[in-house]
Amino acid sequence: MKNILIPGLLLAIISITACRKIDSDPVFGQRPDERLMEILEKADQQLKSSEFGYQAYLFPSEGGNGGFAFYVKFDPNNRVQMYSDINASTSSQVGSSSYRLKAIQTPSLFFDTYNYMHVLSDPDNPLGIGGRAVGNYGDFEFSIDSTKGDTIHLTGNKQKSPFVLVKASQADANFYKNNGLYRLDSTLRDYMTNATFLYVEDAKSGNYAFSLNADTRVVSLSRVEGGEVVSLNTEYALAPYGLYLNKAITIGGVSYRYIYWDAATKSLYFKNGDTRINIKNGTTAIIPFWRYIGVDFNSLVINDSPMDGWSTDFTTKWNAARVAMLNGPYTLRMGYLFLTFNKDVKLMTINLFIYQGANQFLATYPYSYTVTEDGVFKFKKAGDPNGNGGLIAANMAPLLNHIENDRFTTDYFIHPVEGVMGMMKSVENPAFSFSTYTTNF
Amino acid sequence: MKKYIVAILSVCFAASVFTACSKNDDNLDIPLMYEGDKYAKNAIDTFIINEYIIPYNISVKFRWDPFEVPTNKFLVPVKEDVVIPVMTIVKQIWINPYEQMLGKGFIQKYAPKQYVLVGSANYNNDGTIVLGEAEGGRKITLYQLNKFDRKNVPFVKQMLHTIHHEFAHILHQTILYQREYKQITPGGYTATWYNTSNAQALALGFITPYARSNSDEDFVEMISTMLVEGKAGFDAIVNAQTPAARDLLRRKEALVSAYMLDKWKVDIYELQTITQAAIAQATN
Repeated sequence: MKNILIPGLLLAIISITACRKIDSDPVFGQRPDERLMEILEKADQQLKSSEFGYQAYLFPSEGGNGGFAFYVKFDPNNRVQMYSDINASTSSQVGSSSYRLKAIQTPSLFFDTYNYMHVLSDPDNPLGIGGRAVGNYGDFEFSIDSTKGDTIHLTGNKQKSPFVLVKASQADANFYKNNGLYRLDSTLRDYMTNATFLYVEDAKSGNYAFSLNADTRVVSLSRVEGGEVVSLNTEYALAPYGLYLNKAITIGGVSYRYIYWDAATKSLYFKNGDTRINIKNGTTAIIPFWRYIGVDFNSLVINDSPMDGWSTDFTTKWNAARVAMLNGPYTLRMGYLFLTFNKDVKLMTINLFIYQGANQFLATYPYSYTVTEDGVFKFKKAGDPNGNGGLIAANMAPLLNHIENDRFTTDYFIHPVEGVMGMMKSVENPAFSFSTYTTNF
Repeated sequence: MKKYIVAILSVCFAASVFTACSKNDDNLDIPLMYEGDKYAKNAIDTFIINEYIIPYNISVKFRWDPFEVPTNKFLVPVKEDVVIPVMTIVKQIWINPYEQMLGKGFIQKYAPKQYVLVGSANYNNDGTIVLGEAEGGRKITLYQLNKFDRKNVPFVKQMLHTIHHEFAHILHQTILYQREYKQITPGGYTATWYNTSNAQALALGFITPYARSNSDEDFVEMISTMLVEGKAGFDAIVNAQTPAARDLLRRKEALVSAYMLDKWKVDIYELQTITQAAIAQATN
């Protein structure tokens, strides 16, 4: 009797309890995927809600270069139109492709078939942008981070590139449709070629020298602080009003995200409220030339043929060296001469490119140097030349004698065609002076 | 008494079984968990539905999906305007010849079920690039399609070589090839096949460097090369070799054609002719 009763009771209990239906109403009122789809739908509506599309700025992550501007217009049926400042054609012809919103770990915006944006990620480098096999570290899948007013902030899922969408007005849209990006890029390049010493006033703690590199899309503000050149650098992307900066720049306690272009006066300015802070074109440099040596100018480069800024004395001696080499036992043609500075160990190496037929060789002469607070350089031999250098040491002597024995001042030199260059002048023999290109390698 | 209780319990139990767990079948038309995305279908989708999904149950993914491709590589999506040309040529040169000889059911049953299209090449660390790859006979990924040009015969052949290669894997995984095949060049297989040039591989009796990888790859490289190069192309490659290498390649060829005929009832030489005609027509 007991034998049956106990399992029987258990069975009865199980029958009563086991099939009690669990209350399946979700805590948040909807199933997770319904909520997810709702968020995606909302995001899609938001993207499509901007009648004239968006100004868009993409800053490829570390490893990539510069900042890139896009015009992006989201249309019904998952279509998107695009312009970009990558080159003349992407700026003048509209690119059309698909996009979609997808729930992965965060709600994400995918530009899911090829368009201009993908050029920055393309390992095949179709427009010559970026490195082979890696591209320019761009992104085309973005997590939607936040919306502030008319601005949507996104981050690339793969490379973490910041991507910003700002609602465009009709005027903005017209700017992009009329090839505005490419024209603004050309305008800025002309502006930089014609400018000499651009600066921004900071009455309190010293003016900044301003520079803009249209190739790498970087703006820099520099000044001397505590004996060192200090630079604020940030990438920029072109915008209907001028430049959108990847990181805000702080001048005199005020931080700026935009630089405006004034087409009437052909100049750039910052805006603090209603106050314009103009970027002015000066006649003298904010930062003495020598401060940049070994910092921005890692090498001063002497041309491979005489040019403006070479003194008669220098030209004569340079020519003597050139002719001696050419008529020497190795029939060498003299090429560019690099004065390469290593600021940390105070070493200056002369690297002279010489050519025998089509073969290139390098002659090197190492020097240590000292520099005074007035920017006077003094060089001292710091070892023997390399093999090639030794073979033409006698030919080079007229030039090297000055380097070894004289002191030198440096300054900017305004070349009629090349623009701002460098100039070195002997203190002891002022007739010995020459102009140089400047490079950062 | 005892029986009585047992009977009552049984009735209770039975009742509970029938009632307690009955689920009311209210609306079952609810979205799948984590469906993830929703988008408007366009003309390309219609093409894929009509040409691949309905007739063969093969899906073609051309919209970017980061989880379908290697995550450690730099890759970009395909251009919309190459999708239809690429998948048209795949149908012409791969599906149609088999279908013509073996009927629709054959492709429906054995073909890989998913194509993934990628715009750029897939770069390896050693500087080589991958143009196509397959997973488990189920999925084929095609790369560098943004450079696709219907009239670029080497490009088309390369792409189709990959597809025929992967499909041949499915064939031999379904019915294994002859044991003797593995004994033709047993000493030539190596894990470092990529150090072999084309000429070196051929001299050792392998139709491509990758054929040295193992006998399975050897077998499918034979099939795909025979089909993509055609009889004339294949003969030209083989006849240019030393007598010893030629003999090895011809023995492999004989086993491949015997296998296709015995196991799949396909005359590979006829399939070659049909495939060649398809390539000529498609790239014209």
